[in-house]
Parts: sequence; structure tokens; C-alpha cells
Amino acid sequence: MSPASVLLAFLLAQVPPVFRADVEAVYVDVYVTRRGAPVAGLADRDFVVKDNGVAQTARVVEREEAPITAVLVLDCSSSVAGEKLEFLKAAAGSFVRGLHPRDEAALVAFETRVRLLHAASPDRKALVDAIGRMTAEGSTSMIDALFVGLKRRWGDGRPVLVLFSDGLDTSSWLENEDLLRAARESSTVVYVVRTREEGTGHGESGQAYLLRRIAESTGGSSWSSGSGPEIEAAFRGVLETVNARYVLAYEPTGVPRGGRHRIELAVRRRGVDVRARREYFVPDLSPPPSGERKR
Amino acid sequence: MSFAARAVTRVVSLAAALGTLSLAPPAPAQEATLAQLADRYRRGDRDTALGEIGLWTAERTREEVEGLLRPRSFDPALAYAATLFLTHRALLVSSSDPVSGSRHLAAAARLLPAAADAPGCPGCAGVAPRMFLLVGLALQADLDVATAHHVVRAGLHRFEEDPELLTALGIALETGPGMRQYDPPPDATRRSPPLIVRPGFTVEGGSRGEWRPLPASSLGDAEAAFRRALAADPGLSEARLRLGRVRLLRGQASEALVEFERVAREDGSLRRQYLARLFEARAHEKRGDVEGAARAYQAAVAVEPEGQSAWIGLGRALDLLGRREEAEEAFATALGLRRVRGDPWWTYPRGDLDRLEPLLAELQRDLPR
Repeated sequence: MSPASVLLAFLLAQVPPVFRADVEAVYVDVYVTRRGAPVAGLADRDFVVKDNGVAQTARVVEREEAPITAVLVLDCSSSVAGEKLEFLKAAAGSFVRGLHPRDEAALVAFETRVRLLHAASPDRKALVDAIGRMTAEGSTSMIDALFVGLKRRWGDGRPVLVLFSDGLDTSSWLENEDLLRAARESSTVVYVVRTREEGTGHGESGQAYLLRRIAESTGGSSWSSGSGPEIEAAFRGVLETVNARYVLAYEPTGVPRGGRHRIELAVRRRGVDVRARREYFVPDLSPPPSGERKR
Repeated sequence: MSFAARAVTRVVSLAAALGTLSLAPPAPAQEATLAQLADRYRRGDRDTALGEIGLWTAERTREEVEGLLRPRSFDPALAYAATLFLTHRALLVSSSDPVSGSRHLAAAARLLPAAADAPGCPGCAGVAPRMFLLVGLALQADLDVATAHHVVRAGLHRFEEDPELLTALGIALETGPGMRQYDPPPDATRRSPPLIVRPGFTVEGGSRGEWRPLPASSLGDAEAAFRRALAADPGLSEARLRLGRVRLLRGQASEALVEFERVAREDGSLRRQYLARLFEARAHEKRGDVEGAARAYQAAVAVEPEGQSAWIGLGRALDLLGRREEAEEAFATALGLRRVRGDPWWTYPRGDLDRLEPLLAELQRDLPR
């Protein structure tokens, strides 16, 4: 193995979601719409990709070639108890059943505590059963749950995280900046479903803004839903978006491997909106500057 | 949001520790007055009194309190007994009936100043500051921070340098503006930036102007209260722990570390040792010492293996150090924890829960007859 290959192998081990050992490529999830509706039938030549300003040759990966690993991170705090929990169970169950056969899903619930209810698996029945056993109690450790959802290695598919929450974080240990950094450094696409806060009369809350910002920075989206059947409609929207995405793959050329990479993406079609992550991050290979900032 | 489950467990265990009490629905007719129940309570017939109060309406509660406060017949010793009785009842029912619990605490807070200021009760002086402390701590445990602040201030107005009251004041000031409370934008139609009230929050690489940190004045007042408490009693570890956290939030990570290390070294409470290690980890992070943070998180999980916050923090620190496999193990451990004791961080905003139970027992013993 050449030194360059060793270097690359190390990088691949560090950033599995971005680089995959078998293809040595960067994968970018892209959602293209025109007037809100997904645009189908795009091919390699329709996409223009630049990595840190350098044009790249990208190809569209078929959906079957790029199965997803969906991590459902669901709010099971006491405010969800009752009818809302039943709507959530129905929505999450429909989402799992609607995934492609090669996709897999994992289930994480959070209240005061964050719990793994089911590891990543293609077994739809086991997942739906786990969803059916969810109960609601306690406060809301959403930031901790979302952070772990972004950081853990869940499976081999393209990572997608679906967050459902109906309230404000009250008990997480980690801070918003920890979460923002994790979102920037992960290649997970985050979709957020939030129920609308009732009674505030002030529009979007600070936390809703934070979650929307995280979703958008990862190339995902956020849905504001009611507390009833609208939850299932929002999850259906997430599923349709996930299934209508394009996955672009390219081997970065002409740019240094380490550090932050800015992605510029355009589609050679008129009147389309393109949603994709705008950057990815490859850790620097130099040893961490331990104690550098110590006073 | 409703109470943290840890607090529920705490209240349940408190109920168990304080004697058996049936929370079964009361008999339809409740004839006993608050004065009668308080008298039974102070004579030691506590279970009967606590069981008989039943589900009083707001109006009934108010009438009972006003009845006790009538100037001609006012008995400060009985008012103290009623205050203790109502607080005890609130602690017992707050998890199952938070509305009733809050109502009883509000009634206790109404009675307390009158009892403290009444003349002619030689046995009352000894319990007065601790009574303010108990009601203040119970309100803080109920997350009614504004009323807790009011009661503790009222106590300090009468007992200026009481170190425990000063600590309780610091706690209210530390937690009052919100540990994790998010304000909506004042007027979304003007596209004003969203406000997130988070102590010391900054967005790395972002605009600080987008976020509103905890008002510095509250933290400064909290720090002053903790300092005064420690000046009066240097052994008050709760004040020292929280002084460290406030200093950390105010950007004084190195100074905060000194406080956390002292608490971890000298205090016997596992809850405070765990929290000291947890905060120590955050202080190391703020100084850029991620390895130090990882060590502190490891010390925290050694103290409390079920501390999910510390496991998640450990995973994050190891991830930052490039130790991915170990980070993955820490996250997996965090997600697999069973809830038995819970994580002390989850109840940190509820104040010094460890103090409630012994304080209640002390006051039951010392109530003026």
C-alpha cells in the first residue's frame, strides 16, 4: 500500500459518512424541486458540482445503489402522552414501512433520558413493534438525543435522521454549539418535524429556528405540524423527500483532503430549487493540539 | 413540561422516608379546618393530618389561610405548624397532583411572613430562618423559581447573613432566567432574530448577536450570594459547587475549576461529586483542554455510572480527540442505561434536593408547641 493509500485509508476510517472505502468518493444528497414538486429524471450532465471552488465530475447514484439508514429520534416526553403519542406511533410506523427494501432504520426515543429502542435493522416488523411499545413521560433532552443521533455509526446506508419534537429542550447536558458543530461535521441529512407551539403568539421560537437551521445546513428540511393526523402527513413528506433525492458521488480532485470543504451545487434546469449540504468536513491528520489553549 | 422523573422518584422516596401515607381519594366531606390539621400535625399525628386535607379548591385553601391569619386569634406557633404541614403535603403530592402541590406551597408562603413577624412566641425564633429555607427550597424543587426567590428574599430581610438562605437565593438567581428556556422572538413579523436564553451561549463562527445569553446581572447577583454564603460558612458545598458553575458561565473557567476540584475532594455527597466532575469537564472544554475534559467525564461516570450526561459528554470529548471507537462505546453505554437512580444533572435546576428531607425532619422536631 502506498503512503497516499495509507493516508486515504486513515481518512476513510475517520469520516465514514463522507468517504466510503470501496469507492473513495464524496456523496452528496440533493433534493431538486420546481414550484415545490420534486424534479425527476435528472442525469449526471444536469449537475454542476464545485468543491472549494474546483469543478468536479459527479455522477448520479441510483437509489438502489444508495440505500439509507434512517435514524428516527422521537420525543417521548410527557407532553406527547395521550393522543399525540398515538399519532406519532402511526406516523413513525408508516415511515418505516415506506422505506425501500434495502433501507434500514434505527429507533431512538428521548424524554429526560435518551434511549435506544432498536438498533439499525431492515426488519420492519421488529421496528414497528418497538414503535408500538413507546411510552411518554419526563422532560425533554432533545439536544443530547440529536447529538448522539448525529455522532453514532448506525449502519452502512446513507445516513438520514428524522427528528420529531413537540417542545423545548429542558434537560440536555450538551449545548447548542455542540449540536451545530456535530451537524456541520456529519454528513447525515436531518429532517425535523415539530408540532406548532400553541399559545405563544410570537411565531417561530428560538429552538424552532435552531432546528430549522440544523436541518437546512445538512441539506434537509423542517416541517411544522399540528398535533393530530398532520404528524403523519409530515412524516409522509419526509419519506417522499428522502425517496425523491438524488445522490451525487464524486472523487474530489484538485483540493486538499483535510479540513472544511465548501460545496457549490447547481442544476442545469430553469426555475428549480436545489437543496443540499453546503459543506463537509474531513478532520485534520495532525495530532490534536492538546492543552494548546490552556492558561 | 412536567417534572423530571428523577424528581418524581425523589418525592416518592421522600414520601417513603417520611412515613406511610395513603394518597387515596379523600372522603367526600372534609370537615377539619387547616388550624385543626396543623395542630394535629405538630402534636405528631402527621399521617392522619396529611391524609385528611384532601383536595381543597383554591377558594377553600384561601379561606383556610385567611382564617388562620385573623389578627385577633392569630397564633404564630400554629401558623408555623400550618406552614410546615402545607409544605410537607405539597412535597408528597407534587408529582401526582402538581396543581394542588403548588397551591399548598403558595399558601405556606402566604402564612410564613406573618408567623415570623408576630410577637409573643419565644419558641419561634429558632425555626424561623429554616422555615423560610424549607419553603424556598420546596418552591425551587417545584420549579416555581419566582416565588422561591420572593420567599428567600423575605427570609434574608429578617436574617441577613444566613448562609443557607443566601445559597437558596443564589440558586434562584442562577436558575431563574432559565437553564434551558427558549424565548420566542418578540415580534416575528419584524423578522427579529430568534432569542435563545442559554447561559453563556456562543455560536462558534456565528454571530453572537443572534443569541441572547442569560442576563449577566443575574449571574453576578448569584455569584455574590454564593460568595456571601461561603464567607459565613466555608463548608457549604452546595454554594461552592454553584459558585463554580456561575463562574464558569461568566467565562472564568480556571477559577471555576478550583471550586469544582475542592467540592470533589471534600464533599461526601455523591450527587455533588458527580456534578462537580461534570462541570469540571465543561471547564476543561472551555479552556481547550479536551483531554482534561475526557478525564473529568471518566471521573464522573466512576462516581455515578448511570450519569447519562457524563457518558454523552465523554463520547463527545473522545470524538474530538479522534478516539472514535471509544467514543462509540461511550455513546452506546449512554443509550443503554436503565433508569434506576437517574442523572443528578436532570434535577440540578430544582436546587438542593438533598437538604429538603433532613430539613423537614428537623423542623418537625423543633416546631414550637
